[in-house]
Amino acid sequence: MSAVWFAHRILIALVLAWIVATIVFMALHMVPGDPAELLLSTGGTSPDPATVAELREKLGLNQPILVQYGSFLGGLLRGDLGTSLVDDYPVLSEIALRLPRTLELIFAGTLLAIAIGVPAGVYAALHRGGRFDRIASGVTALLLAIPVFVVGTLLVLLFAQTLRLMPAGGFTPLTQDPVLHLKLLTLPAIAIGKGLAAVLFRMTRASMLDALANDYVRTARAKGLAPGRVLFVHVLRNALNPVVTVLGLQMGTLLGGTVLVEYVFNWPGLSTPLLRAVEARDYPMVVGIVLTISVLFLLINLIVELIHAVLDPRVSAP
Amino acid sequence: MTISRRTVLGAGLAAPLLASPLLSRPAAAQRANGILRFGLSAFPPNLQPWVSTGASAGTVKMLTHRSLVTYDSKGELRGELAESWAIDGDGAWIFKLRQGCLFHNGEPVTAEDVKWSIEQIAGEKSTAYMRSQFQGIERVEIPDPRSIRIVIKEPQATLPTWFANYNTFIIWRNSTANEPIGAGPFRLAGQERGSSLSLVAFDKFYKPGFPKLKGIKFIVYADENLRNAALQSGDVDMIEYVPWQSMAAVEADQRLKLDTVEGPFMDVLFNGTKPPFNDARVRRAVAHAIKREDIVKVAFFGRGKPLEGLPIVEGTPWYDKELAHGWNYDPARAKALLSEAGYANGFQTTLLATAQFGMHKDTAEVVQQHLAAIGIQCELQLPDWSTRVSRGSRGQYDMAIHGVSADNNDPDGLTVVLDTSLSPTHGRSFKVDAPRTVAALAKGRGEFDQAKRVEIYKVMQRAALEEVPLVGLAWREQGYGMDKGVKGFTNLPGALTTSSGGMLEETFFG
Amino acid sequence: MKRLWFPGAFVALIILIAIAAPVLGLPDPVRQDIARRLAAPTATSWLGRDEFGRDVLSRLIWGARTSLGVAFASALTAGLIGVVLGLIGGWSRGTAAFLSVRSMDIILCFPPVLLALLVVTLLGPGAATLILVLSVLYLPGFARVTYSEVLSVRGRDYVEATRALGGRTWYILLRTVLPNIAGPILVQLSLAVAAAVVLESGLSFLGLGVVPPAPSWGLMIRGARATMEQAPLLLVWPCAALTLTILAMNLLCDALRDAVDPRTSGR
Repeated sequence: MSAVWFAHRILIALVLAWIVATIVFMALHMVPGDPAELLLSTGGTSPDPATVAELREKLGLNQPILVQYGSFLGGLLRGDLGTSLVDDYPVLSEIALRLPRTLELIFAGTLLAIAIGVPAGVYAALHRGGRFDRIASGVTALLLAIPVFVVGTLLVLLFAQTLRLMPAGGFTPLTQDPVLHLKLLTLPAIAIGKGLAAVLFRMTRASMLDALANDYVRTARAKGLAPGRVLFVHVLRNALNPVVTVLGLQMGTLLGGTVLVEYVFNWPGLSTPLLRAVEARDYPMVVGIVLTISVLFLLINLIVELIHAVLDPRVSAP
Repeated sequence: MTISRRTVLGAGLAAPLLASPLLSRPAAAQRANGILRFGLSAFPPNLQPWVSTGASAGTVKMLTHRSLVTYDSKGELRGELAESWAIDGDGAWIFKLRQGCLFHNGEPVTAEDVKWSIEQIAGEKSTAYMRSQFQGIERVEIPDPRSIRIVIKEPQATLPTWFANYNTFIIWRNSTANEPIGAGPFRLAGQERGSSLSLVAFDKFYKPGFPKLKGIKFIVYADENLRNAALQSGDVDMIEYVPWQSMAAVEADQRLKLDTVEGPFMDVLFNGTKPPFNDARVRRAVAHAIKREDIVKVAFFGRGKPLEGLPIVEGTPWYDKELAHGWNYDPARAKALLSEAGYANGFQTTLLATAQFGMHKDTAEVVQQHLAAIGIQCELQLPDWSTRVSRGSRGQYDMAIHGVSADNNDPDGLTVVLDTSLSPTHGRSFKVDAPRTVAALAKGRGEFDQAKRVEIYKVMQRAALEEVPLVGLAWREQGYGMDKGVKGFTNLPGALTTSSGGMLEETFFG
Repeated sequence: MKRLWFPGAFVALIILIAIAAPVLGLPDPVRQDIARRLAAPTATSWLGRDEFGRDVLSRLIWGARTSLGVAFASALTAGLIGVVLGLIGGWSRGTAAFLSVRSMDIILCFPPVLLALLVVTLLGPGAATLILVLSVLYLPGFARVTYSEVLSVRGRDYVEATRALGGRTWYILLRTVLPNIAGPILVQLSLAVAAAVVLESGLSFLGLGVVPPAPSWGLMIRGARATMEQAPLLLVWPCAALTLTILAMNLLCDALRDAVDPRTSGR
């Protein structure tokens, strides 16, 4: 893991992010829907086409797409992601405000998932076919099966509407009221974490079983090493390798995949504005958010690779 | 656009109101300080005073801005910045300004501000909702500092209603484009983009004793289930768009009350540029083929009413019982009309709606089933709303489902959905030929005598029943749910329901 | 092999029911009967009727065809292509590895909903589009897992031994490497099928999935969410079907893993 390797990696990541941004930019301009017409049609009203034309002109949408792309790239080089077509709000400010909240949500959900999924997977593998193993498999299927928007609605119905233990979604800054902040974080974190916990459980269990069956474990046992030491030094280290891979993948997916959770719990993160922006064909906002998500995802990847290298010294990146 | 200090304030203001620590008695603390917490269904895309960006934006704009007139709780025009208005001998409208009205910056509202605002709306580069109407104004005169005289190219019987629209406000003439200064009962104190907006009462509002609230906190709940949950759990005092499936629960809740009107409606639009829907008989067959009760039951949980004629509100002078059922459910007649048009064996076609809104999707499914019964097999096309809009205004469809409300309760307010001679948009049929309907609408617009107008609009209804520029399907209830302690709010009748937000000026905790 | 038959039969039964839908004598799944909407279960409609008065059992079974068809097709497509890419990447390193594995990052950078939204908007909604979207979304998962497994397996003694014996690359990959990394891949497959069914429902919730009135479990869940307070059972049926299917898939993949993996098959 030399500095050169690291620099090389970062360069690749930047190129990939640029490719993604370009694809999104072009694809968005290709799909039907005109931001000016959509803005003026909010709520079903029928705008006068002359007004729409005027707004298009004002928003610079009449320029050739390559000119628009050029000015987007120009802005990017200056660190400017442009402003929203809907209300002229700077894209960067929107991201700065909302990204931390999405990250917090993902972090909380992942933490929850790791805390439950990994130990449960290890335990189930060690006691394979036992009662815990079977029950956990059933619960896993249930967790994977019920869609997030159903779980979310049920949680709100139970905790907010019926028990009145917490507000029906929303957000309050940590600095304002830490207790309420955590309260509001709980339900969406559960909704996000539930699927991930199930995935981690299954992955951990599977690779634990693999690792346990390996020669070196048998060798280690034969050498007379205590079971606890065998388990933790050899098996877990090997078993966690694919788990980390999956975790890295899932974390990335979650970055843009919290849409339904944010929507159902009114969590003002980055996913909801992304969806809204796509619906409104708010090009700069979409591209800006996707670019941010890509860079972050690639960063997480890099970290995952570093962890891999620590867990399994034989792995060196291509 | 909008306020520059929003970011700083937004985050801070969001907190105390969203997060009442007294969850056992959530409303108490807010009531004491006179701040109403209102659950909005969508965040206003922007708050530019003259640009149409939907009803949520309208609700906020009606509170921060004022125009010459507005609607009272019965839906009648009432003076605001103007005390009175009348038409003079030359057919020009004269508005007398009220004295002592102030903008939020303390400047008085003058005739110059009114003239400037009108000119901005009508401007060549304007993107205002009322732009084309206002471009029909020949000139604006100021005969004396308290009067505005509007000279119009063609007589307009309903010109005062232009100024009651929530996209027609009077703005201080030296405002910058990014910071329009209005004269409404509330000021925008802060907002968090996409999540919440805070209004505080304007202390120098011209009506003594108003607004009755000290402030309003708008919190956006896009998910209807969550919005309803927020009302039922006491997180907010009031919500708009109570989901139909939850209306019964709100009514049954002892702490809450529901205020609904049948305002907006669902309809079928046609592409008139190609067969078979360029034939009025086929369109009429569609009109007679659909059992409206089913739509009301499925899409609106019974919270609506069949619409078998033109969307004219019952109880208004324009309503005619017979005409209102001119497209009654009669499959046999529908089949006969199809045969007459040469489609005895039916045909294949497509029905465009959107899957993004449940009511559009559900309506489309019911319509599809009923059309199949008379031999019209339609394939549903349910893209996202944006694509639906785009295809609608470009005429890339055969039939389409739409949901909308008229501009106001005067039949002239239906022009926007009925006049197919206007340039195409997604909200009206694409180039459907309906010359007699269009002519009658134009005639009604220029007529000032009420009795004659009633007659003209009956003629218009008869013509439209034959020419079928759209097919009415169902009225849907539009409901506000609120704590019983919220008083003084009225859901305005008919098409004006989306303008009800203005009533928050008179709302108070009792 | 013993452990294989029960989950195998379970999955086969589900698939069989789905395939046999047309000959089961079920009521038309799209036929509305609005007078009887949200009707409770009766002798003629065992699971009751939905918000359009359509028979829920019929929709559940016909919906299985759509939902499972989409899920299996996309998971298998993604699995096949993904494993090949992963094998190439893990084995060859160098430029081929770089291209096969790094190119996946481009897909991963896309928020799934955005990808679905763009593809569906461009191609129009429907089952075929859905399969395309889902297989693209799951492709990187397979490629990644395979890649990292190959990396950790390629240095092992038995692989080195086969290589030393002069085995051809493809032979080594398919006969020696693949069986040894099959466990995680099969798990990934079961997860992908499960996730595909769930994602189908999520996309249908956003209006990007199957086009109504055709039945799918996702559409059923979406519809039932609105009537949750009036008819909670409508939410239970599709969720239960989904849970059972996923459970069956998980069991099958576990059993398959045992059967395929040379190290555990002896037990």
